[in-house]
Amino acid sequence: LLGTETWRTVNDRAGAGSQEDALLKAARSGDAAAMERLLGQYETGLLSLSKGVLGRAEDAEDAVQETYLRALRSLGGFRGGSAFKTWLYRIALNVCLEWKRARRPVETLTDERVQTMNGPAPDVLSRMRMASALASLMPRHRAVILLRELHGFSVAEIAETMRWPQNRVQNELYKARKALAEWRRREDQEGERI
Amino acid sequence: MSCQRISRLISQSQDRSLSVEEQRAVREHVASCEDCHRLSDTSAGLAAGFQYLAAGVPSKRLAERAVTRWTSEAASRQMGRPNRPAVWMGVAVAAAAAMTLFLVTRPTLREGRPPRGTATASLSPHGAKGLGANAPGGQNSIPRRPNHPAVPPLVHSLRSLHTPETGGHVHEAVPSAPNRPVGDMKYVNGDLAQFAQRWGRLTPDDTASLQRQGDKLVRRGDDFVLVPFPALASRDERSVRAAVAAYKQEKEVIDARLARKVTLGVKGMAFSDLCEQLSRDTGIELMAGKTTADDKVTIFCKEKPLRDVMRQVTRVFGFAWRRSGEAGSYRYELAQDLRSQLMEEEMRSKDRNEALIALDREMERYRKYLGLSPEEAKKRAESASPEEKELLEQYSGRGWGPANLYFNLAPEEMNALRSGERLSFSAWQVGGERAMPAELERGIIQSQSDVRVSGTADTGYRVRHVKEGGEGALPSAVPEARAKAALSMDRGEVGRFTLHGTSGIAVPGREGGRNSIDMGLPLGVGESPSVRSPKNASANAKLASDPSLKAKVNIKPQPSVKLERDPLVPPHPDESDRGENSGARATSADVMEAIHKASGMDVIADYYTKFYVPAEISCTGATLFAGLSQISDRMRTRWSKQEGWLQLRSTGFFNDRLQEVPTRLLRSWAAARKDKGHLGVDELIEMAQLADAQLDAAAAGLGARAQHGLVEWELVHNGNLRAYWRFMGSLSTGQRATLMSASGLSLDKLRPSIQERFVATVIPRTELAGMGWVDLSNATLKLEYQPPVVPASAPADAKYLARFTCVVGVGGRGRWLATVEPFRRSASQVP
Repeated sequence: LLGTETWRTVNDRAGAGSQEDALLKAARSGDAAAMERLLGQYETGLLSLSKGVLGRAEDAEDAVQETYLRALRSLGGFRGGSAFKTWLYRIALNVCLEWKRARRPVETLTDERVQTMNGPAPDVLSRMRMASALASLMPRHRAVILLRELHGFSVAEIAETMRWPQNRVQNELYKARKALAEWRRREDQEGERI
Repeated sequence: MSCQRISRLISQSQDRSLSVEEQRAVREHVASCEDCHRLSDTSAGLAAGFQYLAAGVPSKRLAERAVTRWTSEAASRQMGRPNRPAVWMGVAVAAAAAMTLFLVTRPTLREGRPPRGTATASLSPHGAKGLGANAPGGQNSIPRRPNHPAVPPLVHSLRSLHTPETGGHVHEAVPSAPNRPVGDMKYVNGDLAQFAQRWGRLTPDDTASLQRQGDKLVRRGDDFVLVPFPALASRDERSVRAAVAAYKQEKEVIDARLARKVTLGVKGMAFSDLCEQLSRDTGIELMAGKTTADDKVTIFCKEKPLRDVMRQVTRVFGFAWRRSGEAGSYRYELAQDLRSQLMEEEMRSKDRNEALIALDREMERYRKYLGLSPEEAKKRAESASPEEKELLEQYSGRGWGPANLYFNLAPEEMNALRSGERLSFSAWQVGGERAMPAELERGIIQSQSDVRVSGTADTGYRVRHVKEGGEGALPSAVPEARAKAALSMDRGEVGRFTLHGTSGIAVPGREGGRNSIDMGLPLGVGESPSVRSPKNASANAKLASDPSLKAKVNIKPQPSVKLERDPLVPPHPDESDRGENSGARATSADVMEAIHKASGMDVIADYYTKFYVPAEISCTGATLFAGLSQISDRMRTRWSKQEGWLQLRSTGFFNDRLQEVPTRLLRSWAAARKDKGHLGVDELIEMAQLADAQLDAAAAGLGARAQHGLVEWELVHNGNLRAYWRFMGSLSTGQRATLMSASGLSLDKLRPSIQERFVATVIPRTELAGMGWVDLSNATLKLEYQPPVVPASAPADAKYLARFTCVVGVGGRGRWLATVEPFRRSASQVP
């Protein structure tokens, strides 16, 4: 059973890869529908990544739009040296990090969806805390921690996306986690004071 | 290991597997180091914590938008335009349109046409003049000019070619440019968004949303006539050029034959028949497609160009004419495209939702009484205001159980109720009944104060209503009595929901049986906006000063139908026949005829089978404006005046359409009846295949009987019988004959799928409810049908008109377990 399960997973992945290759080929030849499908499959992931890095949903949408446009303009030059996904995420992170540099003073810690949440209070607080924690990180740390924890990228995939050596990825992940633990310590202390 | 080394290992443990030694070292260190413990704890919870970023991220179609933008940029680059990345979606359409125009016009530049700015007059293949404007130089010279009007050339090229000189028509929808020529298809086919806002009162947002849906669905189709321009921009150059050229050519066609004049006086005529008549009268081939053939229309007009009549049809109905064939012998087909169908579905859905909300509001009236027992409610009713008293009396009696159940329903039960399922509750839970909530048991039994229980536990109990001579103990005094109740949402008329509730008791009868009694009542009614008054006077306020509507008129429709009480349905014993469904009646077509006669104006209206008391839809000495508004309000129609025509549309047309029975079917059944003197089983089976909305509509039944003589309508209208007729529709001719023979049809001889259908659709409506496959093996089905020959020739011994029976037994020793006689009449009751 285990073997069957494994085989199926591998087979599915192969299928998904070949499907993406076909889409990529069609998109390069100017097929608009293929472009939409190729890019559209990463929309949710890119939006969540951008929102995590930029802090605001509306900025995230703009960033993903810009990412797509850059990707479309460069699609002809994409030779498949890396996976399309990591290539696209790299563009997205470049956009986000550029914007962070350009708009350094602007930092919104709250998420508009949090503000309009009608869910139970603990859930809202948890989200607000996570948004706040994320905002305390440097942009590049946000990027790597989100790629790893939210998107499940391996260290190697992050290295490919960020064009860093794997050692550096591990180091940045460590720093990000340490910073988050430190944020939590401060939060706990403030909570005690209150 | 140092704290720093451990903390790195903690971080790495999230990304790779640590060795056994590393794991032990980390474990031991974390147990004693608060900072590392916090790091470990924090790191482990990050993946879950960040999920909020991904949760519920809605699709923004960003990829689609980006591709559209990129495509327009690419097109601009192709044409030598500088990129304008700052201009986004709003410009994309115009850019796409500009590109498509350019692609079409570019060949003419290559062919050495005169330079831009030189007006040219070219003769179309059909002899019409079109205005064109060409650009100077080659393809690169146009776009580089700043503020170059990219769109106008396209607009000019497509706004062809109706001019008075060519026998065409001025497009009245563009008042600022009255002489601007318009092609046939643009002229006769209206704008769907405007249609929805006029007749359906959809907001612009709704319309835009629907258009987006429609656009998305048809976007990738090959029929370029229907494809909007922005989508075309994403095609390759050659396809775009060909598509736009075809589109342009189609737009430019003028069919001079459409100027032929027609005079019409048709009342409630199906479009299939109207097209046939117009084809005969004008020699132009017109036909109604499947989506429109059965819709009915009333038109009164004198000497109008066929083109105008076609245009009015699209204005009122939201349909579109499609042209095919060759120049000089074009064919026209009236169709309702997908976008229009979606829009109608949206109207229906909104209407239904509003009716449900209204019903829920009605039910909220009971909420404040929920804590009261039946006795407490009855006591409170004694000192309540008249309005509250009525409600409290209802609540303290039969309504107590259903009202409390309604507010106790789980979401899935509420959904089931709204989708038409009857929800039955009892402590015994037989035949698909749900468990009765224990806290309601006592209250429901107490509320049955007009029921008496007689007998004993040993001999079995009997229950009877006091009005039927019931004697004995109150149900609350019989320990074995159990409560039962049910809720159902009746949608007899589309646009109106009635929540029915029943409550009663069940007691043990003889031989392990169960005797029960329950009675029902309507708890609340929810009406959708479509059945409310459309308030025409205020909706048409801007037309109040129209001189043509100020004339004093007398509108007196002549009734064309005489309704008679259904001979197959005796009056309810509790109600006197108030004559609501008998006497002379006018149809909406009669009203249109009266309006046409009184005003002399051309009139077009939809037609749905509805009957009005003539006095209620007449007016004397009122202005045409006031008369139209008053009569239209009473008929629940909206009226409007456009291009000299009076247009009327039912406020609930989207629902009415579902209820209307096609004329062709009514005619064929009426013909069969005329031949045989009655309707046979085959016709009844065919009639039962109509949709429930059609068979449930009271007006449809009245019309079928009064206008087509189909007195058997009740046999398919009856919900129990309908299931049998429909089941019989799945049998072969031979099987039907066997079913009607003395020996009957063995259920085992049917295909499994048909057996399943019988068990699923028929059995639940009978006393055999709850029986399954195994129980019904060896069952024999029979149909005995005695046509209700009206008035006097029914067989003297007829005890029923249609009786379905199901014999269930084993090895030939069957006994009649159930006889389903949902419709029983003695011969004397048939007039």
